[in-house]
Amino acid sequence: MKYVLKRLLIAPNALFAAFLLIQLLPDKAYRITDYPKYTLIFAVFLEIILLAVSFLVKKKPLRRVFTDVLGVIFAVLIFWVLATIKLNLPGDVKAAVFPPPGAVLARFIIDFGQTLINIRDSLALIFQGYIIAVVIAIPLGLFLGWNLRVGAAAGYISKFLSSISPIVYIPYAIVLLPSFRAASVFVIVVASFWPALASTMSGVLNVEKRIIDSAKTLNVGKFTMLFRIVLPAALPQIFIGCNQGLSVSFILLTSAEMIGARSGLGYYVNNYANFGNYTSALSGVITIGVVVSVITCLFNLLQRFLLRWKQ
Amino acid sequence: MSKIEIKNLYAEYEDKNGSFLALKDISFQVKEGEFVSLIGSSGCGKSTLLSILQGINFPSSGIAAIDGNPITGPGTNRGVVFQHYSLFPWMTTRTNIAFGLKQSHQNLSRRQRYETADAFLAKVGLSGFGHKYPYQLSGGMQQRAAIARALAMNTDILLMDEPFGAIDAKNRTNMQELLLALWEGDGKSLKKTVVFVTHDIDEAIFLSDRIIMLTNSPGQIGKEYDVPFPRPRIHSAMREAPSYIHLRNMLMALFYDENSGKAADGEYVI
Repeated sequence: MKYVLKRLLIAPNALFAAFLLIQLLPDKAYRITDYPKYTLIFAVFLEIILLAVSFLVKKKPLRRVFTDVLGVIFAVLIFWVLATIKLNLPGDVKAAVFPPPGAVLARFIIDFGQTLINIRDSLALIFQGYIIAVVIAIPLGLFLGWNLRVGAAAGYISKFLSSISPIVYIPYAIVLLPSFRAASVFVIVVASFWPALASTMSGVLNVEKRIIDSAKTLNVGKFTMLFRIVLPAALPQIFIGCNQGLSVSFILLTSAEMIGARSGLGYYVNNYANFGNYTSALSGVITIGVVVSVITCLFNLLQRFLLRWKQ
Repeated sequence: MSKIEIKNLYAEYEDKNGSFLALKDISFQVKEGEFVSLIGSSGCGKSTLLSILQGINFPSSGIAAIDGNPITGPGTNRGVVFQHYSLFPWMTTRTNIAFGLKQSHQNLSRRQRYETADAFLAKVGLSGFGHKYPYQLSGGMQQRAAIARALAMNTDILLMDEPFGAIDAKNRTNMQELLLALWEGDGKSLKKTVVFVTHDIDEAIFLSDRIIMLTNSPGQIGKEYDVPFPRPRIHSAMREAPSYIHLRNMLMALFYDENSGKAADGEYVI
């Protein structure tokens, strides 16, 4: 009994209760179309997940992550419902830019098929660009870092180049590359290339000298030295850059999909925002957020696996 | 012919204060199968001397030769154990050993390498720890695995740079006895030639056939001592022998005299 209470008496459940209570308040915004049913169903759905997680996930840290995230979502929903439908804070005129959650959810459901295609196309674009960047940047960084050992100069040059937003290159990319698609990929390549290169080079320069000496005494060849010693030794730092590159890629997704794309999450948001349909745009923004979270989570799992030898 | 020969060796290196002389006119020889310790306080150049034997550093003048051939770089005729980072942290202990074997015995199949690795892990008392990463092992266990790798590579020469320097006193004694037992082997096969760097006088006496003392900045040969105790050696028995105490006192006196009463860099030398 005490156990059940302990699992139930957590802030996210209180927030869910608060969310239910504010539904009782009278609506103030009459002119906005909302679908409160969707919001309610969504919240109940989340609450079911919350309860399931509370009782089924045994590891406390993992359970905390889930319950905290759900708590934050409830808090956002409360604020969102209050600000739009219940209190109409933006006023009737500006309300078009601040659609209520039910409307966004309804739009999300209507556009769900398109959203799946968007996700597929955007991920294809990002991974294509990202993988090209990483596959070039890591070996190049290893080679430059190991052979030149001129950390300072290379560091400044790559800092200089990485400070230029890849958006600047778009016109050149369109002119020089064979297709719009290639230009889009190019933006992502540039976005993720510099952090990966810079972190690989500094990773190589920071490899513990004693590890290099240890490898030298085993008389390893150049290739073995680079790929079995220097690369894994620098990997923790390489991951920092690759993580950064991934974030920047998603930030630039919208810009990349401005170039001739006809689908994709960035295109979707951009397109609807241009036409003043903020309900759809917001639905797209939230979708991007969810996708980024999932990708980051998978990326962290990969990192944990590849760096399992670190305490 | 001696296994290792060092003759009129000087080592001068550049650092941020200009150049400095690390080793001055070093000459000594190590016979095949001999266990020689280099002792001296830190900064006396003993590790530099060892790194020249490892082929990582090079003398500015003079000769460092193995089997009569000047050392031109690292080679798999020498097994090396450092105080830290002998093992690669991203490889499990058995992969570490198998990796060393791949370098020294290129004709072994992958399976043979791992089988040999497991056999040597068993020899140093680490069977069952093959799939652990170095960070999952204690410092002593890591050094056991590092020794297992050096032994598995079956080199003529072992070069050890304060391998037990970071291990607590009790474990250090065990490790020294283990090292001697492995070095002596079954008594039939040829013993490896060992050059062992330490700043621990007791360790040097217990392990060595001969002790070479280096004096400070620049490193020079101070004195050489033969260690006459019969083998196999056991700590508890040796410690009480009057000749042990005599040798120890003599070395201590020299050590402290050399450092005008105390260790030059404030480090306490046992």
